[in-house]
Parts: sequence; structure tokens; C-alpha cells
Amino acid sequence: MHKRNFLLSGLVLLTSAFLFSGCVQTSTGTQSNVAMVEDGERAHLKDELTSEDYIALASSVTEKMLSSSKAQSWGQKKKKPLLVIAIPENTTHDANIITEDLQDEIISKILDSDLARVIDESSVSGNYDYIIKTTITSTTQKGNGGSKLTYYTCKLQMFSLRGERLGQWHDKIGMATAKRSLF
Amino acid sequence: MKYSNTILLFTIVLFTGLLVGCVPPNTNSNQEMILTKAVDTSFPGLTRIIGSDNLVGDISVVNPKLGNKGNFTKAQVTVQNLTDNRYEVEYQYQWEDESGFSVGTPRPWKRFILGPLQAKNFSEMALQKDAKKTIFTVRLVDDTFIELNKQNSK
Repeated sequence: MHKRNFLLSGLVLLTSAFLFSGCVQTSTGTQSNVAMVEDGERAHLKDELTSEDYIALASSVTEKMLSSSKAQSWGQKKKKPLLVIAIPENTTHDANIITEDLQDEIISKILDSDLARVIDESSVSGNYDYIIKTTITSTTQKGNGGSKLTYYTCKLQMFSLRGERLGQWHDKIGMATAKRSLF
Repeated sequence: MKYSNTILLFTIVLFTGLLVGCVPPNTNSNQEMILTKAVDTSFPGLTRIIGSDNLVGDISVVNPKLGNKGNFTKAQVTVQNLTDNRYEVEYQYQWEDESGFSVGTPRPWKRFILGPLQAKNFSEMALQKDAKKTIFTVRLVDDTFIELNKQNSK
């Protein structure tokens, strides 16, 4: 009788273990302690901009510019305007911001939209229509115990050849760092 | 003999349960998307997905709009918190052409806070002319470090 119960319990345990190992939702596919970061993920180790942040900022300000009435009117014209996209100016405390990456994102968004053409700023031809300038600024507030609040603002401005400011769009990202634990 | 039959019957019942419970339904379907309670395809051209189990029933994606701004398609939804909880969530639009092929790469997830009973609008304009349809996904914030921490704490 004891032997029978023992066998039966063993069978139940084994089957249940198999059952649960098959059904419980787990995250699979990770390897050791290194993981591939998914495209579009907004992971941060510090309160500094990552390349995903560049893409987010560039998309946002470019979207705002392209949806403006000025840029939308380009779609009605036979000849698409020629733009110079200046290398963004970084006035933040973060020297690691690669401004060329931000510029590349803005250029690729404009080219994808097919609303305008882009000429390199090193070109000797003065035959372009608008200049697009981008600036990144930041502000930081520090609290007790290492707590910190940082805001990055990306500003995109459109100028005519005479220097007239035709439009300005901006977007921002805020990052908060919690107080450091004592332990 | 009677004892062996009991074990056999017990095993059959358990393994049947195992197969029924674990096999995902309809995996080979040619449907555009398997409809679950987290997926809403009722609005043509704007599929809405709630990407976290915990949010289903607590957060609702309503008021879908799809229109044109010049040459581009623009989409908007309202994300509504039906509870008294404060949620830190993120959203993403993925654009498709008329035939359902993906257009470009999805833009980075955008995080936002949804306070108790709050509703917020989220719109995005496709920056490509051939983008005509979109999939809007909202989920609890997630990234590689959150996932690694979860696995390390197991």
C-alpha cells in the first residue's frame, strides 16, 4: 500500500513538474548576462542621451517641421526646395553627444518624406533655399543625496537665405535620477 | 492490474491537459493577427494592442483617428486609465503600406505617465508617403535592464 502511494505521488510530482515547466511564461533567448538591446528601447544607465534619444528627438522635431504649413506647401510645388542641414550645436554639459548622429537622423527623415532635397553644408554652391539649424540644450537641478533632474531640449529652426527666421520647433526629454541609497 | 489501469488513466488525463493548455491556438493561421482580448482591429487601418497582461481591462485605447496631413497619414488614439492606479507606460506606432508591408523602422518607444482615471491623446504622423496603416502598441515600461533585473532576482 505504501509502495503504491509512493509511486503514485512520484508520478504526480514528475508530471506536474513537466506540466509547469512547459506552461509557465518565461523570457527565453537571453544568453549569460549579456543581452541584445531591442531597437527602439529607451534603456538608460545615466541621465544622458542615448542614440535612441537622438532618433526620438530628431523624429519629433522633424515631424513638427514637416507638418507645418510652410513645409506642407513644398509638396504643392513642382520643384522641391534645397535645404542645408547644419551640424547641430551642442550646448549641454554632456560632451559625449554625437551631433552628427542627430544631423543624420534629421536628414534621413527629410529625405524619406520626399518633401525637400538636401545639400551638404560643405558645398560651394550657394544655390539653396533654406537653412535648418539645430541646437541641443540642457538644464539640471540637483537635490540632496544625489537626486537629479535633467532636461534636454532639441530646437530646430528654419531660416531663409536672408536670415529671416521662418519657423521654430522643439521637443524635450526629461530624466530623473533617484536619491542614492545608503546601503 | 487495476492499479496499472489507474496510473495509465491518470497519465492520459494529465498529458491531455498538458497538450490542451500549452499549445498556442491557431499558430499557423494566415490571419493578419490572432485576435485576443489585448488586440483591437475594429477600426480599419489602426490596430490597437495592449502589450502587457496587467494592463488589459485597466487601460483602454479608444477614439482612434486616421487622417491625412498633406501627403502624410496621421494617426491618433486616446489612452484612458480606468483605474485609480498611476501607470508608467510607453507607446509605439508601427507604420505599414496599403498592403500591410512594414514601412521604415518603428520610432523609439515613448514613455508617459497616466494618472488615476486620466486620458491622454497620442498622435503621430508617418513621415513616409507610402505609410497608410498603423499598429499602435501600449505597454508597461520595459527595457533590457528591467528584464535582466527580473531574471537576476529569480
